[in-house]
Amino acid sequence: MMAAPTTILTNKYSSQIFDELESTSVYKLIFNEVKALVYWWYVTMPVWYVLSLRRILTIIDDQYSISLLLSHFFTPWHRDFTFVGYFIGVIMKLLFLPVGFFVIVTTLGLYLLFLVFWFAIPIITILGILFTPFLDLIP
Amino acid sequence: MITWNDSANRTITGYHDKGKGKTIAFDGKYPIDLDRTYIPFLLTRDSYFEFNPLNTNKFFETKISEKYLKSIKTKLANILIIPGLLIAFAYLLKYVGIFSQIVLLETFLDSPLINTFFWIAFLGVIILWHDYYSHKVIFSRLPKTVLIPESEIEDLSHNGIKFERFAHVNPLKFISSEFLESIDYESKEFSTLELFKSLLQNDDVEHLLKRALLEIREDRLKEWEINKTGLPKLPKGAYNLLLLYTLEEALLTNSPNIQPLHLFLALIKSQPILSKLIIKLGSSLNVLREVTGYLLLQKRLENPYGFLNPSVPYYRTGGIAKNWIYGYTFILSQFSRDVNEEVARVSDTFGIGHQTEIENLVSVLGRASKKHVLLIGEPGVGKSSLIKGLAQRINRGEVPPMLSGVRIVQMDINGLIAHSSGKKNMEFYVQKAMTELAKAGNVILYIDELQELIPAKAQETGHSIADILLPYVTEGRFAVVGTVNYADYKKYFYTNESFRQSFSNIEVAELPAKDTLRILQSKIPALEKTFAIYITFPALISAVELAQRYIHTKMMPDSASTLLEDACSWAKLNGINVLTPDHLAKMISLQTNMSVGAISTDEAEKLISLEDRIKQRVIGQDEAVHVVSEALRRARADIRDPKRPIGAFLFIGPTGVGKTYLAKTISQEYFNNEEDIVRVDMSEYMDEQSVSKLLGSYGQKNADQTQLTLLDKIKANPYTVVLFDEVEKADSKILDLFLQLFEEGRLTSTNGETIDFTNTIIICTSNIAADLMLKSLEEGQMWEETKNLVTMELKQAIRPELFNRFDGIVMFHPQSIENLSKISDMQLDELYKRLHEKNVELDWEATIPMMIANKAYEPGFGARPIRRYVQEKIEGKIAQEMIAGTIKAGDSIKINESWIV
Repeated sequence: MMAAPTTILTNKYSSQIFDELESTSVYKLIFNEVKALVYWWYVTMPVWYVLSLRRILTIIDDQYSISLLLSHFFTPWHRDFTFVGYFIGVIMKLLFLPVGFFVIVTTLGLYLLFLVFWFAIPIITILGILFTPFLDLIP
Repeated sequence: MITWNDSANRTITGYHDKGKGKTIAFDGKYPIDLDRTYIPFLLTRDSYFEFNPLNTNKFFETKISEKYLKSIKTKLANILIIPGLLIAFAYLLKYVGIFSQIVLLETFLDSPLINTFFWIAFLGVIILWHDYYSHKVIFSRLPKTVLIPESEIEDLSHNGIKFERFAHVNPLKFISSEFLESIDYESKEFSTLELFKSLLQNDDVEHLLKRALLEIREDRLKEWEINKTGLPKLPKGAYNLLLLYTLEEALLTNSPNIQPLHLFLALIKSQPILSKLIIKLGSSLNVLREVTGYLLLQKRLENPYGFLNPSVPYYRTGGIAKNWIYGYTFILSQFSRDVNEEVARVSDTFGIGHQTEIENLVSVLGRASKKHVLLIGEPGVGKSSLIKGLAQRINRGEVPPMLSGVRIVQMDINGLIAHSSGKKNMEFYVQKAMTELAKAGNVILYIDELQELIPAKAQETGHSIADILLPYVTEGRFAVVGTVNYADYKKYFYTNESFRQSFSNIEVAELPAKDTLRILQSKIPALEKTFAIYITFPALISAVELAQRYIHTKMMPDSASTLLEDACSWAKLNGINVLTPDHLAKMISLQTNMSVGAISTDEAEKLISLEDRIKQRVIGQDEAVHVVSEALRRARADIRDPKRPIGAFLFIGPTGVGKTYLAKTISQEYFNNEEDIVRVDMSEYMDEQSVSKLLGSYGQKNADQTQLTLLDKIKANPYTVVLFDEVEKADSKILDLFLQLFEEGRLTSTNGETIDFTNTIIICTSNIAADLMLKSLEEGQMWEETKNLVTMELKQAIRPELFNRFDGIVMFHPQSIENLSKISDMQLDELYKRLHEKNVELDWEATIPMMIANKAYEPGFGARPIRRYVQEKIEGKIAQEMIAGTIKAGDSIKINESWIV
């Protein structure tokens, strides 16, 4: 058996492809675990929440016909190309679109609250661990 | 047959000898150990995956340490969580005020130590949360593999890999946690046997085996001699190569990451003993790949996040205000179905295999003018599915802006006719509906079988709506998609210039077997739910292959899909819970009256003794019986050419030698029905014009046909014996048709309809050289000599190209007096059976049959006079006495010699 190769794969810019996550040192492993948790909490999950928010907004947009009504704002009511048709069309959309916008804004608000809460959980926990023993010292 | 070529040329595996700067491909081999200086790699069209042993080792070493750390972390978190929950509960009670009287407890809960402990426990919850969900939300996925062009493979083999051309991907990043759980990467060497056994316990692998109908269990491994010799222990470095093959399987099954299922497939392909076992059990790696792909897709779609799952497509419905911006369609809605709404309600995928046709359809419908489309294809090729596929694309928003929000509305012409009372009323409805349609602005009118609107066709079917509706269709104020089959297109559209100008034609071809299999796969969940039955993959493959082989009256995928549904329904009625290929074969057997599928022991015995059984019925024609039996056995063993009739025979011999009787016997043995043979007397086809009797007259309307043509009969029952009697009398034009019939197994009617004969047995009879045969019997000539003379005469009478297309030229001996005696005995036996049913016993002396033969014998007439003689002299006598009351139920009669004399 020949000696194991000493080079590891590099890309054309000669930088190492494999990151430093692979390690057997205990400190490094603990660090990697913490790093993975933080990355998951603050990057992976928020991205997933944004994707699911996109899906929720698509559903709301579809169910409340928001983009459809906006893109056809001046199309007359049931394509009745008379003054009455145009008038009713615009009025109906003016009445209905706010309902859709309200649902979107409410959903976005709740989602934002949830995200703030999500971001805060680890911070509150760490603060809780670190500062609770010294609460009595605070005047 | 299904061609499994999906895996070919999508990946290249090999190793890189960095010392020599060479890359060598494995070329379909799967070595399990390699020099450690060589770096295995996998190449797709765009990506390069390298398996450096150093990295793999380091990866697994890290995973071992991580595993220990993780177990400690999880234990700690679990320990913390219990007191943490108790504290949280106590906080709650304190908040409610229950502990207000217990000062000590209140003080305890207020202590900073408890508060800190609570937060530490909460951190435990966060850690557990992360551990549980972290592998469920993954954004990075393996790249999709596509076919590597031949030119690139050529370039690679000549010039090696240009590393900078490919995206370098780290394969270890795509190893799933399930994969790591399924292998033991801690020991210094690994046993392929133990790995195989542990994989058999894996839930996903169990599902795979169940779906693939493979009963591989640990307790059966000894039975197949799967032991340490066949699956040896390997150095740990071998994991590196196994990982390479696992990645290859993950890429070929279009998986987002590397799963235990892929390891199972990799182990099978790299271990010859397992590859052979899979083949021995009637499966293949390709089938297992297909099942794996199916299982992984189902897993993705069954993701617990439900409607938030980005893998599950969302179908837009337009919402509650969608109709505001488009015109009313009150009247139209009464006589139509909204295809978009229909497809949004179901989870099926439509238009599989018709992507090109859908794209063509989208491009035509997206035009500013001349938007009419005519989908031309045989029934069952998936024209309706194609329309539904387009509707799904519209619902998903995967169409150009001009088609977004468009509805496809299928007009129900019969419903409209039924609803209207009188023509005026109908005119009113049609006019209203069409005005709505033109005004709606977002409707595509879909008319199935558009030929119904053509005046000529409408006259045939009596649709008075055609002339009202047609002007609106041709006017072009809205887009129309119509479907029509080839025969009707040729008959009604091809000759109509205005129609040809108005419509853009899109031909819809029959789907190949592979796409049909995909369609059947998509139907599994719904069918399993409807029929409460488990459908195995081999059953699906059988459905496709059997439909392709035996059902030619419909096209794929409809033929296979209908067969599968019929089999599910039949299995449900018979209390069968798991659908296997045998059930599909049974279904085909029931539908065609033919024995299909694996040959059972009983049937094998029957087939072996086929010759003897036929000989019991057909006397004195051993050679003819042998030729026919061989052909029937070949057909049953399924080694015949599927594109030709089951058999094409020419029976030669004088009258009464048993030619028709043998044909009936064949029908009984092969199709289980003696009487259901199609008999064509060729003496009625002696002139050129009689071709129309076979193929139908050109331009003749169906309604005008009072007599069924041969093609009509075969169309109605394509599983039969076709007997062309006295073929030598037919006109040469008719015999020309036989060339196509014998070679291609089909005939085309004058209306362009193709009729399939591949499931028929064709028998032509002829009296050519009958005199020669009789003379040979009288003169005591050797049979072989006679045969040569007859063959010479035959070759003069029948054109060589037709003569050579027969599977067998079967010559029937003129019957000798001994054979006629046996036939007399058989006739008496039949009479005995008939009388026995009336409780009258019949008996006769052994000399009686010979006496009958001698008395009835007429040179040149064979066995026919025997039947006549038995009827006149014996049956007639008994009948007289029964009427007179001399013979009653319970009596015994003995044939008296005087009856014969």
